[in-house]
Amino acid sequence: MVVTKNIVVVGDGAAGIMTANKLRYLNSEKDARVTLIGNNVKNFCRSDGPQIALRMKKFTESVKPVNFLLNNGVDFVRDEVTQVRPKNRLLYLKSGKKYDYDYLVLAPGLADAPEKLAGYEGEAKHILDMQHALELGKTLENLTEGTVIVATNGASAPNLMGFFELALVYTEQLANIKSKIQVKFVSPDKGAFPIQELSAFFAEKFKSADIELLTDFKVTSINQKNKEIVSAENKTLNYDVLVLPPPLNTRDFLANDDLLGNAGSKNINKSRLTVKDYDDVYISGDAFDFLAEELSGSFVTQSRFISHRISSDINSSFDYQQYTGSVTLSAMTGLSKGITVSYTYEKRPKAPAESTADFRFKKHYSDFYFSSLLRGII
Amino acid sequence: MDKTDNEQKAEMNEDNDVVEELLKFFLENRDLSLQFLDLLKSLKDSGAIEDIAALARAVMPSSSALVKEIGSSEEIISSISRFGNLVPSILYAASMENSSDTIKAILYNSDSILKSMVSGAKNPEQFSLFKLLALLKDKEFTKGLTAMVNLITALGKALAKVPGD
Repeated sequence: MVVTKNIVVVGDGAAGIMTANKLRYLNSEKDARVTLIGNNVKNFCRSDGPQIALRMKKFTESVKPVNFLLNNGVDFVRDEVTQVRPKNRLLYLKSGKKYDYDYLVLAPGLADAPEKLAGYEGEAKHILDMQHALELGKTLENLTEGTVIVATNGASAPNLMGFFELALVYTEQLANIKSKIQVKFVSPDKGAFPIQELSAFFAEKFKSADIELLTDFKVTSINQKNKEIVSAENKTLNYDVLVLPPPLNTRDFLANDDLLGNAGSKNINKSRLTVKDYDDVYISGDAFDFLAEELSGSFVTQSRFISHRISSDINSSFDYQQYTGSVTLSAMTGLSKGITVSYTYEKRPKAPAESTADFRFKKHYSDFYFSSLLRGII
Repeated sequence: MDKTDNEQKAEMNEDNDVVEELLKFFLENRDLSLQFLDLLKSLKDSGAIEDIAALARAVMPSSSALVKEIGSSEEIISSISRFGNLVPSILYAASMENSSDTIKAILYNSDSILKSMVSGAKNPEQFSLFKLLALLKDKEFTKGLTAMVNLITALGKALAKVPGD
């Protein structure tokens, strides 16, 4: 007799949608029931953030309803998880309902925590969601002179490369209109980028674009009155517009002692993407990247790995493999060139070479993202 | 205006630099270069290169500026990108175990389906209520009718998900 397995995916961001669609693709409805739990109405292609802010793309192309993006046979439950009890294989939802599971995939994303950085709220801009990207676009449009600081604050920020893209493309736009606005890039690391091989590339690009690069500067607070950012060593820098990723936290329910507790990343197996000793609880997407505290983020390879692992258990259709931390990132480096870099936990990235093809790929990425990646076919 | 000797020399030097770069690339990637030459040779031997050249002559506009303009237009690149991303959904539909069998069952019988549709359209019949009731007793008819009703229901569900304005 075939026992239908119950797979629950928590989180309807990119990682959750792709995992649910892929699991549906790989397993028949007799073999598995796939349920996605989340409360987003729409999904934003985050990689388009810089292009939206710089008015290079119609924003309607970068967002689609979650319901539309789910393949036939994925049950969508609009709700929020409040508690997970992995020992009992139970999930509790905000609505009071509870779900049991045979396999659980946690892809809940991260929660904004502006309170973690004094002065952040209402002052700094970012590009990680549609609303903020549009707001930044409006602010930049109204700016006629002054200093724009683009800063990053650690490798675990989602779409980190997007902030580099924003600085480079914006500077080229400014150069074309001979603007008086100056762009500065602030990095908390020793170099421009947290990965050494890419650091030299971006430092060189900033130099040739006349962007002042300030390294070893971790923003610890923002003085809204003086319009300055303050570092750990009490150094200050003035700005007219500040672009900085928001401080983030993992979702509350992950802090449960049965899951991650206070140990956080120590309770994650990086080569299996499992939580603690549970071989039926997986974690992926931003939550994993944030906890892994390295640039290992790729919802694509994580979703693929997890769906293959679970499907392999159900219908023994895939080889048993380990997650290699494979990542491919693309970014525009100006108004006609772009780069694509790949790396894994073990294999360092090569110094990138710019090309028009990479620029084109990035420009049309959202179509690829919605039509192929999220649908789980790649 | 004619080019001066110095300008011509500068251009020749630039050309030599490019050739040198190319030679360097070929030598550094010797294995790859030989594989590529093998590929070119087999394409030439099979006559494929002549076919491609003839096709290009037949369908491509002679103005290279026009080709460049068409090829680099934002609209055409965007359309190609969108078309490219339709391929996975077609692959998805065709590669699912059940839908693949369904598609095959329809395609391998498409001849008879098409013939009966054409014959029906050419020889329309008056359907009285009794005839319809009689048809409903026909197993094949009810199977087809149920399939069509289910198809319309599934289409309705899928189309309802398509984002509107």
